[in-house]
Amino acid sequence: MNDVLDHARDPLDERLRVLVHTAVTNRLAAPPTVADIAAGPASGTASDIGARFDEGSRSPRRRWIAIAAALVLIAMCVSWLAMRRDGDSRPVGPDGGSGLDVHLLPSVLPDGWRFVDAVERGPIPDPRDQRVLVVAERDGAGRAVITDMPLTDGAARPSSSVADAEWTDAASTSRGTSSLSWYSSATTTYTQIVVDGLDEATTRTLAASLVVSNSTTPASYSLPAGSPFVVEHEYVTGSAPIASTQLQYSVGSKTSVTAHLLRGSAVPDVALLLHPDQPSDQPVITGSSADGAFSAVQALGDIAVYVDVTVSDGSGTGDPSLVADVTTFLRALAPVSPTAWVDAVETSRAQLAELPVTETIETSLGTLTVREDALRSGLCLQPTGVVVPVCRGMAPNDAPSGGGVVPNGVFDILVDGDWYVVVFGKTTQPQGSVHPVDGTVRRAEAVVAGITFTVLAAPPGATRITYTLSTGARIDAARPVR
Amino acid sequence: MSTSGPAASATQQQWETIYLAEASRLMRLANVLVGPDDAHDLVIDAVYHVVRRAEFATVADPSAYLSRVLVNAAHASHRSSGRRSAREERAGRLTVAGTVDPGNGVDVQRALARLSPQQRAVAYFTYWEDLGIAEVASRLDVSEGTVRRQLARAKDRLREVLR
Repeated sequence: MNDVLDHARDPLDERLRVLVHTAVTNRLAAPPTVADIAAGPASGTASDIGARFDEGSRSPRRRWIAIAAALVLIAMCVSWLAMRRDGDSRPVGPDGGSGLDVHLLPSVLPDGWRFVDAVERGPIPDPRDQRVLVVAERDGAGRAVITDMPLTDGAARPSSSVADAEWTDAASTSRGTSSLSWYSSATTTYTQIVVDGLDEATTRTLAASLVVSNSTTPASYSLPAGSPFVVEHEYVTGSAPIASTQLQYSVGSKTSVTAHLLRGSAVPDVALLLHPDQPSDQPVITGSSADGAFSAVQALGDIAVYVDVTVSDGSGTGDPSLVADVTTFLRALAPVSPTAWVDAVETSRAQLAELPVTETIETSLGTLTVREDALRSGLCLQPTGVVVPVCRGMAPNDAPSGGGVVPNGVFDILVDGDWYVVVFGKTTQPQGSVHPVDGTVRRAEAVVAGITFTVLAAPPGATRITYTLSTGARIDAARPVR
Repeated sequence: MSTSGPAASATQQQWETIYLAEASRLMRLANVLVGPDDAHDLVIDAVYHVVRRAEFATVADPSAYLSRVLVNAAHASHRSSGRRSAREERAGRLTVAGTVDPGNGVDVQRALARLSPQQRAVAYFTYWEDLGIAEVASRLDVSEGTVRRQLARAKDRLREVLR
C-alpha cells in the first residue's frame, strides 16, 4: 500500500503536489490576530464557510448511504470493543493531589454581584515545560519576558529566524502587550518575547543579541557582556503542578465574572513579571480598553489571582465599567477557613437546585436538569437512586442554549463522593460526542433539540479519567476536590 | 477573550502563545480546506471555540489538536453548506473565483471541491508538509489505513482532472 506515496512511480503525485501548493499559496491571507480570535466568529460565519468551495458536493443519497454504512460499522465496533473490554480492570491515573491549602473569598462584593459557584481542583500537570527569562533595561523602564515553548509534534514549520521574527503590536492582543516571536528551529522550539515599555526596534535588537545555549531542553538564552539589559529571573514552567480553584459570579443578565485562584510560584503570570513594582494590593489589569474585554491578575503571596470578564453571548464585547468592580473584588479577597469556604459553596449550590427548571434530560445514569433565573444558571445531576440533585454553576455562555459544538460545556459533579463528568454541545461527528478511553468508566448519552448530553461516571476512588472528544482531543481529567 | 474551567487561567496565559505559533500553519491548512475566501473565518471559528475551553490546557499536543479541530470545523461546514450550494449552483448564482494551477492547468478550487475535507487535509499534510503516512495519521488522529485509503481516493477523484 505504500505505493500511494511512491512519487517516482506515479506522476499523479507530482501533479497533486503542485495542485496543493497552489491551493495553499492561492491568495493566502495573514492569519487572524489574537484579537480576531478573541472577538469570535461573525454572525452566520460558520454556515457560510465552505458554501462556495463545496459546489461539487456529493449527492444527498450517496451521503446517507455512507452514513448508514458508517453507523452499522460503528455499532459493530462498539459491540466488539465492549466485549473485548469486559473484565478490563486497568488502574486509573496517579493521585490527583490534595488541592489548595489556602481558601480565599471576598469580604465584600461589588453592587449587583452574586456568588454562583466555586470548584476546587487538585494539581494539574503541564507537559509543556517552558523556559522563561525575565530581563529589564539597565537605564530604562522597559521589561521583557522571553519564553521558549517546545514544539512536541515534530512537524516541520516554515524556516524562520530572529531576523524575520514576527512583531505583534499590543493593539491587536487581548492582553494588551506587544510581542516578537519566531521559530528557533524548524521543528523544536517557538520563542516569544513579551514586552512592556519596549518598542519594536529595541525588541528586535534584544532578540538578535540573545546568546542561545542548546545544552538544555528547552534551549536557554543569556545576555552578552555589555548588554543594555540585565537578567532578573529565570525559571522553567510546567515542572511543578499547580492547584486551582474557580469562583463564579453573576453580574447582570449577560455578564459573568470568573475568578481563578492559582497556587504555585512556578507559574507566575506575564503581567506580574512585567509589572514587578505594582503594589501588592493593586491588580494588574490588561486587555483592550476599546472593547472592554479584559483580565486582571494580582499576587497574594505565592498565589496568583486571575479574573476574566466574560460576556454571555460570546460577542467579545466586554464591559469597561466592570474594571472598578473587579479591582474592588480583588482587593477584598482574604483567606477564610476551609469550613467557611465549603459552607459558601454548598449554600449557593443548594440555591441553584431551587431555581426553575428550564430543561430536563433523561439518561441511563440519571437525570440532568438546566435551572436558571434572571441572574444565575446551573446544571444539575440527579443520578439514578439519589434523592436530591447536585448542581454546578454555569456561565451564561456555557448554557446548552448557547448552541456551541461539543464540548460547549464540561462539568465535574461530585454526588456523595461519586465523580461524574457531564459534557454537552452540538455533535459534529457521526461517531458521537464523548468516549471514555478507560473501559471502566460508564457512559450515558441523550440528544435533546440537537444538543448531545453525555454523562461519564468514574469508577469509585478514581482520581483521573481519560476520555476522547469528537474533536479528536484526548482529555486527561482530574477529580475535583470539592 | 474569556475562558472557564479548571485551568482556564493557565490557558489564558498560554493559548495566545500556542495560537501565534500555529497561526500561519492553520491558515495554510484552512486555505486548502475551504479556499481563500473562507479560510480566515474558518480559523477564527475553530480556534475561538477551542481555546475558551479549559480542557485546551490539558491537551497533550495542541498543534495536532488545532489541526484536527480545523478539519472538523471544515467538515461541519461542508455538510451544512452542501444542500444550499447545490441549490445555488442550480440557480446559477454560485460564483467561484477560479484560480488556475499553472502546473496542471486546472481550476484549483474546482478540483479540490471533489474531495472531502479529510481528503483535503490528508493531501495537505502529504504534499505540503511532506509528512509520512504514520505522521499524517497522528496529526489527524486516524489510523494509517484510513490515511492510505483517503489518499488513494483523493488521487482517484483527481486523476481525471489532473491528466
